[in-house]
Amino acid sequence: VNLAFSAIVLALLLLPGGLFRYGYLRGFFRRAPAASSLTDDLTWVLLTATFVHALAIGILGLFGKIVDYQVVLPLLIGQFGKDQVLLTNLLDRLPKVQGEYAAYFTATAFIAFVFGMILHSFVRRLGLDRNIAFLRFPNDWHYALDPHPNKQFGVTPEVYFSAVIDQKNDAYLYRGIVADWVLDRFGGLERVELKNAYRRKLAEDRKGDEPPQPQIEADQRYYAIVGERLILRMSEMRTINIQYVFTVPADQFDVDNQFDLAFDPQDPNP
Amino acid sequence: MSLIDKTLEGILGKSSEARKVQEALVSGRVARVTAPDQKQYLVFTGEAAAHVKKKTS
Repeated sequence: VNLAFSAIVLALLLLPGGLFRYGYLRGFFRRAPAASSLTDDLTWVLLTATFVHALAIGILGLFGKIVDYQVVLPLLIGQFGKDQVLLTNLLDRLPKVQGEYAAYFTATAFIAFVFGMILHSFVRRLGLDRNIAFLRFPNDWHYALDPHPNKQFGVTPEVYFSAVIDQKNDAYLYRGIVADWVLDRFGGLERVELKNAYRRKLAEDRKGDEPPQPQIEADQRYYAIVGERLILRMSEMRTINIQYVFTVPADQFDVDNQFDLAFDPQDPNP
Repeated sequence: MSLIDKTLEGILGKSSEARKVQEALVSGRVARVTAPDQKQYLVFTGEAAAHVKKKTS
């Protein structure tokens, strides 16, 4: 019973650290790995819980509420004195102060969670996670499939996704724009949803000396897949290619001639 | 769905323009396409992004 009581007190004290971590890592991501247990990153949990409690205790001190460490510390290490007198006294007093305890733990947990979300938002808004390695979130598929708005063009690029999938005795190349995706609890890609999807047999790839046949609908190798969304399972994909597609108003941007598909070098008045 | 998302979907929904988009994806160059709202857009991948510049005047 003594150990169980200490464990409950410890869990309550660490709760703000766990919620801060959850708020920071989950934040406002479109998709993110499921929350992991408190023991996954105990150092982070301990440090943030200590910070939140230090802050809360400092604020309470301003209102004359002083923490009695001669009670708290023995409780944490399970030393309740002769005949468990400390525990008995505490349980006798509990009905009178239970509201204060509940308010303290609820408030610190809530504040820690909000702090985590605010820090998450701050780091992403400034792009610190993309520039500083230790601030990068453990959500690799977010960085691949949910691109950052591009400052130069003022738009967020679309993600054009290609994957090779084995079906029966053939390998097929599937291509389409990413509409959504789902992660497993470890942060791996479970499935991806494509729109405007096409597929063709991989064996019908161009030969080395064959010129590119870019017109997908004129290219007999491809055919459009009827439906709103095509769902591909990661477990069935062999290789993946990702391209970021920008769409910008033509009247606001210039293109170097050699990269403009509409440019005709034979045209005297381009 | 974002405006740019809708625009690209509209472009791809029109077969003649979809071909241009596909060509841009394959060749790493820039396609000029007309969206259903009759506005002209440039469509390109990150590979060609360095060759698209904001108009100065």
